Parts: sequence; structure tokens; C-alpha cells
Amino acid sequence: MSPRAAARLESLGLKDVYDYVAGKADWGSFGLPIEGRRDSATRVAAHTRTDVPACGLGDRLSEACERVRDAGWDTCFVVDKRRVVLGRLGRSALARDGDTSVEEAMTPGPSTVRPSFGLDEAVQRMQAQNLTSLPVTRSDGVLVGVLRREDAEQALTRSGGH
Amino acid sequence: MFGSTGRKVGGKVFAILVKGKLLVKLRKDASTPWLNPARVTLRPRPRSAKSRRSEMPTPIDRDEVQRLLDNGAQLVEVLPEAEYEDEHLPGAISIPLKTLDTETAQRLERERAVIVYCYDYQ
Repeated sequence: MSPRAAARLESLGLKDVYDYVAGKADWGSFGLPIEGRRDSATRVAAHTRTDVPACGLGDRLSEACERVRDAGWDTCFVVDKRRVVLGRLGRSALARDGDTSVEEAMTPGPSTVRPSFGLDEAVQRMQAQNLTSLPVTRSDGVLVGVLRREDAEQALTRSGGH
Repeated sequence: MFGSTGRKVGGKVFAILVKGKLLVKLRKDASTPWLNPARVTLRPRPRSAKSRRSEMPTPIDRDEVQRLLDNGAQLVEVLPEAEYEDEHLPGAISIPLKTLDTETAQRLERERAVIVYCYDYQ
């Protein structure tokens, strides 16, 4: 639609016309602000905890456990140098004994949601799948943080949407 | 020819260009010391993809959107109004594609850049 609109504007005599081809889906998926009835407050981004710990593939699991414990979390994400998510260490992985690598212990390729994902949809998903949290990544795979179910449900209750 | 340059293309074929665009190709005939006008061909050079692109609105990415907005560009969502009301980029105005005409385009300032967008790659 936007290419046609851009072409039409040029036919109407406007000279300096640009087409943001990827559109508002791209904008929102990168966690950038959105206005309207379904504004940023109704989306996952506004309620995402960004202080979730992260570690690298080459780290030892014992190091990751210590980092998670010090941060007061029960999960950790495995990321590369650009913070692109490679895997997740959940409670069972963090409870493993022995000197093993993060790469061996992690669950690779966890499902994630975008910052623009609707808060109400996120709560429905967590309730349906009995999840306590959802990882949030941008469209380029970079970790934004974690949406905790309790935070999401409280936010929905406050907004009257639950 | 005025403003033209001659260029030997290869062998016995000569090309005459005007402003860099091929106008005429001439072949040197063995029977004449110079170019045989009977073999004149007019073959305009096909437009390259690059020159075709320069005549089309410029596609841009998210970073370029932000840069243009910082420089005062106008932002237009071309989806139906209800979708605009649901969500839109900050500062965007709504001009649905179906309503885009001379009158609605007057809402835009011609001396400023205009960025249009819809939902995604539609």
C-alpha cells in the first residue's frame, strides 16, 4: 500500500517522497513508541523487565548460576556479542550439577514475543500455556528483557482490561 | 551533432552519444571510406535499474525514518482511518490511500520531505 501511496504523491507533484516499506509493524517490533488507542501502555514493551541476567555460550554453568543468584532471578538468557538470544537457562538447567558449559545446559531457540505484542494477548498465552514469563526480543533477535506474568496481570487489572 | 561525442564501440561500429545517452550507432562499411548512413540505427539505451530507481520514491528503513524526522519530514499513514486510530507512529497524520488526491495532498507542505508507511510489506 505504501509504495502506491508514494507513487500517487509523486504524481500529485510532491518531489521529496520516501516509502518506509517495513511499516509500523517494524517500528513496533523494535520497541519504538506507538500512539493511538492501542498505545505503548497496552503493549509488552512498557512492562518488560530489562534487568534479566544474560551470559555467553562459552561461559561455565557455575558462573551463570552465580550471576543469576546475585541478580535475584531464576532464569538467564544466553546471548552473543550483539545480545541476540541463542538460548535460555531455566530452573532445571540452573539446578544441574557438574562442570558443564552454558551451551550444553541451555534450551536453544526459546519462543519470544515482540515489544509491540499486546499485553492482553501475552497474558492469555501465559495462562493457556501455564508460563510464568515470556522473553521479549526485537525483530533482529536482540534481547529486550522478560515479561513476567504477575507484572502483566497486574498491569491489565489496573487498566481494567482483565 | 550538437553536444555529442563519438566513441568507437568495437571493430567497425561507432556510437554517437548525447549527454551520455546512446543516440546513434553507425557502422563503417568496407565500400565507403567513412560511415554508411544507410546503416544508421537509432537505439536508445535501455534505462538501467539504477536510473529507474531514481525516478521512483525512495524506500527507506527505520533508521532513515528517524533521521528524516529529525530533519523535519512529514509522516503519513496511508492505512484506513480505523487502523490509524488503533496505532500509529508518533506525529503521523492519517491520509488513507483511498482518499489520496489533490485536495488531501494539500495537507502536506511541498517543501518538506514526506514519509509514507502502512502496516508492513503490503
